[in-house]
Amino acid sequence: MNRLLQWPSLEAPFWVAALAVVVIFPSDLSLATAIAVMALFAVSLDLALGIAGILTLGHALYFGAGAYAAAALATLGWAEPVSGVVLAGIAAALLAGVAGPFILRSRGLPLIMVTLVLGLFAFELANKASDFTGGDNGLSDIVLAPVLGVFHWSVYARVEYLYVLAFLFVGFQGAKRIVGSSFGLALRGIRDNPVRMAYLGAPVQSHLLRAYLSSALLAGVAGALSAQTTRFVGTDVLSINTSIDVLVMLVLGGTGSLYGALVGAIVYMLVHHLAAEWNPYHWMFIIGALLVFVVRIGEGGLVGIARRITERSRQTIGRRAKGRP
Amino acid sequence: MEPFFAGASFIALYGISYGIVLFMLSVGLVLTLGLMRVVNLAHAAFAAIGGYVAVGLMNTLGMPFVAAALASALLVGVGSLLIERLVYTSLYQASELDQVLMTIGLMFLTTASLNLVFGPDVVPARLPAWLMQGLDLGFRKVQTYRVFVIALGLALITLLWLLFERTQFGARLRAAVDNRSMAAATGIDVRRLYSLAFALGSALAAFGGAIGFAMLPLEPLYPFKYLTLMLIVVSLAGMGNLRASAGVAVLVGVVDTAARYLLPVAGAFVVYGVFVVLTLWRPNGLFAGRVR
Amino acid sequence: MSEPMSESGASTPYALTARGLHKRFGGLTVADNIHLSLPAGARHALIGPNGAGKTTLVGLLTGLLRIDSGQIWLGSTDVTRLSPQARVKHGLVRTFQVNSLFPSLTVRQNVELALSEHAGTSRSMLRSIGSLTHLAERALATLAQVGLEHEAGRRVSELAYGPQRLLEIALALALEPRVLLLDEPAAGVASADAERMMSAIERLPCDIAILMIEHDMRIVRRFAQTVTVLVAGQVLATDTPEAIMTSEAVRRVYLGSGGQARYDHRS
Ligand SMILES: Nc1ncnc2c1ncn2[C@@H]1O[C@H](COP(=O)(O)OP(=O)(O)OP(=O)(O)O)[C@@H](O)[C@H]1O
Ligand SMILES: [Mg+2]
Repeated sequence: MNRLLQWPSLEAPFWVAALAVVVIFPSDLSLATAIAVMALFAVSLDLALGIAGILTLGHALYFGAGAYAAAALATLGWAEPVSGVVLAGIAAALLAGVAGPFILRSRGLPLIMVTLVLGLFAFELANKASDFTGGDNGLSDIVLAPVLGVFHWSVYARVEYLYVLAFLFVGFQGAKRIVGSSFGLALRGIRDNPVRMAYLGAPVQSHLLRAYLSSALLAGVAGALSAQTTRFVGTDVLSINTSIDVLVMLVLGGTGSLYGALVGAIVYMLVHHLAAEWNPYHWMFIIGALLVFVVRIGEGGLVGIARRITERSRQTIGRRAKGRP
Repeated sequence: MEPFFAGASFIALYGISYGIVLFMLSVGLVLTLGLMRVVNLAHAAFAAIGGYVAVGLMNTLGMPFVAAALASALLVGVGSLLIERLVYTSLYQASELDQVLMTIGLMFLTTASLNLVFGPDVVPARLPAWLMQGLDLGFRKVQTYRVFVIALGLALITLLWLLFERTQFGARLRAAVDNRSMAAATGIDVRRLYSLAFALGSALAAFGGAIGFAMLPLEPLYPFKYLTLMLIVVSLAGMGNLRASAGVAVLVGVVDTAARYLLPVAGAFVVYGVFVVLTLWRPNGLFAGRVR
Repeated sequence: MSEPMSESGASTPYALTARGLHKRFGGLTVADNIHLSLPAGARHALIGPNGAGKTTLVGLLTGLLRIDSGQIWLGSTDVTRLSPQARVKHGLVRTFQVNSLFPSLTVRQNVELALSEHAGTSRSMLRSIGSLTHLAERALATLAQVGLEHEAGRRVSELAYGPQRLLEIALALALEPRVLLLDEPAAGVASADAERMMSAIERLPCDIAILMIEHDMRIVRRFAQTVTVLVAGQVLATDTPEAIMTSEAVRRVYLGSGGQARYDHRS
């Protein structure tokens, strides 16, 4: 069947492990929260890039839009966090609804350039609109009510982590639903061969737009979660670095499987954390090497490697079993 | 009228010279995109390396400015042949995503290496005295450097025009940009053509990086900083449209300079706004569907 | 506005009608005042030397290429200005001379793509494709029509050329066409697969109007009731296979263009 989704046996243990982090690493929950936020962002990118083949280098636009929307809501007195996240996600999707029809007219290389330039424009805009974004100082007066009116935000980020994890879980299941639907199959068809899709009568543009909107929604949610849990939004949420970071995470884990987004975000963020003391320029050696590595090992990133190893060992086991009379 | 005239001539002079450097930086990208369809985001790295090498030649060997720029272009051009063999040949068949990833990776590696070797700051370098002098144009005194860059640019554009329109190499190049498989079928050695075009583009970028170091300061982040403007030039010119690229580069230079001069606060923002609208409006180039 | 009517009865329009199609690529005229009409159930072959403009004509009819002038009807609907997708919805379906498939998906998924676009289920974003059992069954049934049901789980990129050609047809069949344009379906296919291909085509529902581009005159004779000869963008003749094969004008064109030895293989 669907090869991409043949990993459900590992999925339940994954979520259990993610929950267990609260107990096992109680003092690292801020980091875990940040990882979960980026994992959701990477999932959103996988939906657009890995599944639908929309080659975007400017996805920080929607992450940033969600972050600023969440911050703006909190500043305006909308302190309820969950609805704040949802509204921020919708805001990001609306933005995608405006930009998408233009962006999606191009494909491949022009698309890369358009999304890159649009991302830079948004970044400049945020820097210039310092009344709204706080410019270089960012926004830090984000005041939120307790989650569901019960769970108070904690210094140890335990509530933060579980809160983000819940959104990650729901977002991931939603994304999986989309990929597993015939709409999701149509997206992969478009990624493979858009011309033939048109000749199957598919409304290619509208399929792509809906994939893009869903992706932007999730990215906006991730951005909003980032704003809420760190109580801070700086213009760097919109920067090219953010777009590139999430791209590197996704391709490191492997595109097109959704699982790769989770794996990539975890590995990348952990490595980044270990190298936190480093000179940022030295960190670039790591990113550069990772990218070259990912392209060299070919399709599928880390998830692809794991799959190949399991397949090979299964084959060897199968052969040995056959060898015996 | 005086201030207006002063402003206009400033914008023209600074904008055009800036645009010419942009042209040198991006023409190679236009070429490789049109010819090999490779998204070489690392192209600006060649410009950065060219600038660093030229400044190194000037500061350590005392080479004159122009000679250093030429030598650096030559070195980078030859060096790029090696890189093309090692890295890019495998990218020609790769997916666009892989091309993007690999060349972003190279960009990171270049920046990290430049920092490691030369430090994080802008490289201290001075233009030779004769270029720093003022030049009296009759109506206005200007820095000789800017006039020199424009003159150099015009000479270069003429040379390139001759190369592309009047030589065998140019004819093959144009044929291959128009229709690769057809060109290969008519016996053109496309592989060699790619290498030569790649080296030429890299050398031009290096030359631009060297000549333009007083406008685009040399620092490790150079490949990232100027990539956007290059991509704007490339996308507005349209893939492989060499003729348009000079005009578009100068246009971008002038618009950028004008915006920063006339609107010091909102400058960069307005420029990106203009180019966002233009690229969204005509994603395949300003002249897409109109040429030929 | 004039509607295309068949000669016999004023009330039964052709399944496909093209009138006065013109198309130029720069200085090259590839379609020059082409008229073509396929009644429902037609078995029509389109032949002509390499570069005659056969594939281009299919592109014009399906909307891949824009015509310079002329009109195209499907039944009594003027589709001249409709998008390719809209023409598909009106029952006009094509296959490609050069395989145009979805290489990273499985054979069955390829067909499911077509089926779910045809049924409109591709719009539902949250319903699992696994729950659409009729889709899977229909996919297997469609594959069985071309004898590919045993390859259903293979990735298209791992498939040999012959089966890929068969899958091209299966994709088209999944769309339940009323007019089917086949661009050299058997070209380059080994003879066993070519036989499977031809018998699959012969088993297609007889109310589908089929236009098939084909070089091999044996296949043309076996398949077609009517043959149109296209030369340099112009219709040279439209007639029964027998009449075409004995036509001196057609013979001259083929022999003149050289290298069309296949034409002489007729037996
Ligand atoms: N997009 C295009 N631009 C310019 N010329 C084209 C284009 N497509 C096809 N042609 C030319 O139009 C002519 C007709 O091509 P077409 O593919 O329709 O021929 P054909 O009859 O299908 O030939 P074959 O038997 O080889 O498939 C050829 O000379 C071809 O080179
Ligand atoms: Mg053809």
